[in-house]
Amino acid sequence: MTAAAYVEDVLLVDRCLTGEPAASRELFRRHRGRVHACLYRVLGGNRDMDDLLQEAFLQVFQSLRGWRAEASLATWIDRVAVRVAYRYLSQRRRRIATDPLIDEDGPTMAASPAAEVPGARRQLARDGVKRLYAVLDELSPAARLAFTLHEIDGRSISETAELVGSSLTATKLRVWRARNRVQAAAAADPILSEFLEPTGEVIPFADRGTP
Amino acid sequence: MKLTGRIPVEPLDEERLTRIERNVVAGAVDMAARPARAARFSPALAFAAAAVVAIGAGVAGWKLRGGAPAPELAAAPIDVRTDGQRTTLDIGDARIHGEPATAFTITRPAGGVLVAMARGKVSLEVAKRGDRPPLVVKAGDTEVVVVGTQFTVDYGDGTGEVDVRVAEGAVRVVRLQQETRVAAGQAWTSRRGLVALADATPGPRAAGGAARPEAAAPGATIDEPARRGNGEGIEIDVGKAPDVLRERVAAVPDVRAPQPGTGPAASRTPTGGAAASSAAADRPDAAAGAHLPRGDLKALIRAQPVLPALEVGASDPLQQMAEYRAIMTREKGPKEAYAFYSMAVIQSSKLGRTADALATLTAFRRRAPSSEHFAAALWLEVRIRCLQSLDEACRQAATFYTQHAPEGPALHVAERIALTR
Repeated sequence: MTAAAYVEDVLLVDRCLTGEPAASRELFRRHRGRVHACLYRVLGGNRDMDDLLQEAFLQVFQSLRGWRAEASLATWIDRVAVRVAYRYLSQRRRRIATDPLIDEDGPTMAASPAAEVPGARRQLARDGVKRLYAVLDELSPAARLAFTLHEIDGRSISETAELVGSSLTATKLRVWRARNRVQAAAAADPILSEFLEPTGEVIPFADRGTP
Repeated sequence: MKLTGRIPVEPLDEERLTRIERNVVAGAVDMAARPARAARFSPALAFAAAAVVAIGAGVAGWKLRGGAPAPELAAAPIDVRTDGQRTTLDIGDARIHGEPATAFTITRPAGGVLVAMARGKVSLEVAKRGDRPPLVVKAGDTEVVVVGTQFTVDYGDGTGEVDVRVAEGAVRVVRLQQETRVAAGQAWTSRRGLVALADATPGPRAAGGAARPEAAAPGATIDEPARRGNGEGIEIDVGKAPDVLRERVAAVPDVRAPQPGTGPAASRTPTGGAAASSAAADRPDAAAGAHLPRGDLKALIRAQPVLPALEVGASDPLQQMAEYRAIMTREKGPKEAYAFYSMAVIQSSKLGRTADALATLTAFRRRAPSSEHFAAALWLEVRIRCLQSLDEACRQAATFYTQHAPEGPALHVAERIALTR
């Protein structure tokens, strides 16, 4: 992070602390995409996503005076968002109500990795995601955070450890255990297995706009 | 297992985002309007508030006896008179022990604490004041300004001499517009000025004066026996302290004139130097202090030159700003800090963008707390705020400077500002 970017952050935060609405709006707009993506990848599609995003930013503004500028503002905001996600996971004893993904191509296919129709294969990918998050629902909040931040959100182990406030060793262990758990579930579930280790039968979600 | 980037994020539609944004911004503005820390309710505070209300309602003289509850101070003055026993008054940020036959009044001017003694002796334990204005004990025409220490004030029957002893910490004594900082190891008398403890001879005690505290006790003693009724011959001596006399040198300006070239110059540090010292010698008497008219105080502030720490060659302020930005982008370490501080100087002195300068200074303080220009940055904030208005924000900045730049060259000016009421 350059000093100029750092100054920009600091000036923006100072403006926010004076109660300037334009500054608060700017901060929200700068970071909302990343925070939303982070929450989404950790929690999956979720009915409470709007509330969680709002809660994360309200927490950010509530704690803004405490930002010591030791970390970049983005990292600090991510940390707040991760705490919100952790609290959400901890408080919900029941399973997270994962939203059923919109089925654009008809009813959910049976568990058949050999599906021929592209639409059906996309559906298979969606099913894979659903099954992955169903396995993640069984993990402890800390393990889920570590796994999703590292494996899905693509953060390094050290960054993940910093975000969740754990040691590197503990974070590595959590990721390793969660991965074992997911792989064990995949061994008994061909759709999840196909999603985790695609053989070319499943169209990745990233391609969903191109039939 | 490779999952990164394979799980797409369902975007939020504009309507939902707008609603969230509206709620968040409203919440942010609301939070910014709140004080940084909400006051905590406690039964003791409630009781204290009730006590204050009772005082305000017309209790003419409040006789505080041993074991009395501790009132929380409000704007209304509290008159304290002890009878035959020692008593303790806890005002939250200080604890005041009153000896028998002691009378004093406590007020909170502008967030500080003023203990105005009429007679007797008090011992004070003062917590660190942080950003708050100082606690001042006034005994006759002598004021003792405390930032955070333990000390004792003995004022006899309220007509005599004052004697100060400091074993720990430091206090500033102000009398007849003369201001002296007395620390452990130093003593001061009105006849001989600042002297070592070994040279300080405490004056004889008044028969009717309150018992003098033991010199071994940590803290300062201000002792004013009754029979020195003319107020002359104030003696301040320091108990149990080394015999090293460390009189303050004349204050110097924050920053020397920059040297040509782009390199940072160590001689430009805010701790000043010989050239600056000679400039300080021309300034008004350092003792004028808190009693200066506001206009004079502003003149004193202006007399502290503030210059960029880094010369970039350009004469146009905007061009200079661009240069500093470029340096901050590509440099790390001291040079980055020099550019940072210099930006604030240009923003305030040449561009007139004082709000931006203050924000830059805040950023600088966070980013470079160990920079050699840290004290200069604190002073620049004092200068900006106090040249705008000698108000509470100005006093707070000055108080902060006195606490965090105790060796700062503009300390004498900052102390005066902090004392203004």
